[in-house]
Amino acid sequence: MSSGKTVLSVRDLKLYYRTRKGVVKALEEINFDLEKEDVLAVVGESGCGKSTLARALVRVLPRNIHTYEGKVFLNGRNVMELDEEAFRREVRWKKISIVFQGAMNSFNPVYKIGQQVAEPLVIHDNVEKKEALKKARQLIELMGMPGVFAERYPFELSGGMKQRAAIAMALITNPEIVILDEPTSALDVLTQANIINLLKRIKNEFRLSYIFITHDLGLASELANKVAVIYAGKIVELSSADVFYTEPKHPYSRGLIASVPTLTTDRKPEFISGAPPSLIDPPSGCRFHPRCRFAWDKCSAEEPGMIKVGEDHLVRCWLYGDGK
Amino acid sequence: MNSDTRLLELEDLRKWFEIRRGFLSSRVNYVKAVDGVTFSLEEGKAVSLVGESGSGKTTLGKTILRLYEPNGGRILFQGKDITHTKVKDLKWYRRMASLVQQDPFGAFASHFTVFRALEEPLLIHNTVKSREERAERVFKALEEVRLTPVEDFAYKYPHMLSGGQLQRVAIARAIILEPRLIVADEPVSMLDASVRIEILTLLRRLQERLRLGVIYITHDLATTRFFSESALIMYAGHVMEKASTREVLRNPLHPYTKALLIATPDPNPQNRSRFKEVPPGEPPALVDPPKNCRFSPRCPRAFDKCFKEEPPEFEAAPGHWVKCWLYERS
Ligand SMILES: Nc1ncnc2c1ncn2[C@@H]1O[C@H](COP(=O)(O)OP(=O)(O)OP(=O)(O)O)[C@@H](O)[C@H]1O
Ligand SMILES: Nc1ncnc2c1ncn2[C@@H]1O[C@H](COP(=O)(O)OP(=O)(O)OP(=O)(O)O)[C@@H](O)[C@H]1O
Ligand code: SF4
Ligand SMILES: [Mg+2]
Ligand SMILES: [Mg+2]
Repeated sequence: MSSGKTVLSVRDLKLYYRTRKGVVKALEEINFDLEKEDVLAVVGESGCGKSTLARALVRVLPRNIHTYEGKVFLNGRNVMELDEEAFRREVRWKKISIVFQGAMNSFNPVYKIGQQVAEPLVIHDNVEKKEALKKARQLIELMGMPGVFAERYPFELSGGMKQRAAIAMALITNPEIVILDEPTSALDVLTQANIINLLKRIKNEFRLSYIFITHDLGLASELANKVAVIYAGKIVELSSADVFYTEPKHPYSRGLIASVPTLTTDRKPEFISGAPPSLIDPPSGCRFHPRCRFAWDKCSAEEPGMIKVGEDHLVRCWLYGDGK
Repeated sequence: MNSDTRLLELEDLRKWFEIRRGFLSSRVNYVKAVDGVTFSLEEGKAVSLVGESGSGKTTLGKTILRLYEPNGGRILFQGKDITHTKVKDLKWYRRMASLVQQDPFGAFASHFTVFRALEEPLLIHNTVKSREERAERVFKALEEVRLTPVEDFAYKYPHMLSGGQLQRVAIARAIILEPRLIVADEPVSMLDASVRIEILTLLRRLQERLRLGVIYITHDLATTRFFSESALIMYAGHVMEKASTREVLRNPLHPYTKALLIATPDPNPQNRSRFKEVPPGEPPALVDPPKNCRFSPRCPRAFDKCFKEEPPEFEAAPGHWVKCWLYERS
């Protein structure tokens, strides 16, 4: 699967938002590597920081940022050091592009789809407009739609088609990495399955790497060879998908997997009681301890780091290593 | 089935929306959102109504609740025909049958406390006169949905609650008048996986304990398994397949149901090396649809007849109905 060439390394990425109620510690201690042709699924409950991670990587940030730091190595070079102009010219869309959460509803109603798909090329690559439109049309066809759809307005397309157009837009600049933030949520399962097939095909054809953000563990397994579970702003488990789906280690990951109803087994789904904590004032120690079945005094007193439990398998939990 | 325990019966129920193409036009078209639905539900049982967006689930749910008046067919509730009962004579039915909606965040007035939101139906229906008694009912309902300690939750405002907690309040509101039937319209689709199971488990417990009939509307086939006795698969206003939930999942017969099952994600790392065989395309428009099988344009097994005639429902196995020409006995 992966070729062994690291395209993206994230080290100690941290992002805090400033709000009236206090500082929201949306992401902390984010560390992972993405190799060429990897698909890293980023999973976790609503509000855990998935979209924040996506936006931090392409540096599309709201104004109320309190802290934004860490290192992001793209093909060995720390792009966090680039100023906005250089980042825009060399990184965003060019190397790392993104399908934003809810992208299909973000098209401008007054412009034709083709024009909007072409936009990253025109703006970021200074490509001739006519040339860009031609490329947009090709990509729209690659997405399994008739090229004439380029001439249509957003309201003339179904949700599934708009989502395909959003993917076309992310691909038009020939990026190496595509971040997909919930690319199929709000779509029907048949449409979703068709789009997942498409994403698989495109990945193989263009040898892309994906960061695939989803709250659906079943869906994650359709694409991912690696999984990062985020809980309350921190990665709590990082693993190959093969190991993760057969032997999840972190109590939170285990709870998440147990909550997915399956069609192929007789296992009755279970839930994790309680709710995720506030990110303004997160719990002491392990952030999961108030909901954890296994927690003991150490869990609320001291925060576990990422503990190595196997080849490429890290878990943030005192149950492992010599924590206990 | 014992007819004494029949809560709800639908016979060939239809709800068409009239649309005019332009406002002077005399030509009337119909959106045939629910087009001939037949099924019955026993007391204390749950049926899943599964279908894609636009398949007519909400329309069917609202027609059952008589928030819409049907264009054809019949609705019997506890044996009484309520198909065309006038709205002013439906007050008793409003108490007996209630709705839980999809969006918990939009379901409550922001200036009402939980207590006030739950008191509202009691005030409207004027069933409980004294304030003390009303408070008792509100606290009891909160207890039923496990929002405890109840005093902690009763005086909170909606923005102070999570999506899952709000959905519990919505369920509390739906049961406070002690109904016999609840239509839960995608009650968990906006919630996280774990919270979904938590809410569905709660709903299931209430259904069994209070002997409620539940119509669980969902687009997620996987959640029907442990939460309903029977399942109805809807596509473009038609019921394509109906049987016990177990049977639908174990032995799906309709090509559409089969496609749904294949398309539904299942956590398994082997998935990434496979492509799924699912039909391309999208559901048809429901404005004056042709009289054929509505799945025929996408169906991998369609043959001549499918494009020309609408199939009736065939009983392919006892209690297992399929609206598909493949199951016609020659
Ligand atoms: N601009 C902002 N200002 C303040 N807080 C924010 C801002 N954007 C997000 N947050 C908060 O940061 C946390 C992480 O949000 P984020 O959108 O990254 O979550 P998510 O995992 O993508 O959730 P979802 O699954 O609902 O999309 C949440 O607590 C959210 O409320
Ligand atoms: N008031 C209305 N007037 C005209 N058409 C309507 C009306 N309400 C619904 N429809 C149409 O009827 C069809 C069925 O809609 P309905 O809302 O019942 O579907 P649904 O299965 O609940 O979909 P979803 O999963 O998106 O909630 C759709 O084509 C819809 O556009
Ligand atoms: S560290 Fe403790 S509280 Fe946290 S997940 Fe592990 S056992 Fe549970
Ligand atoms: Mg998000
Ligand atoms: Mg609906």
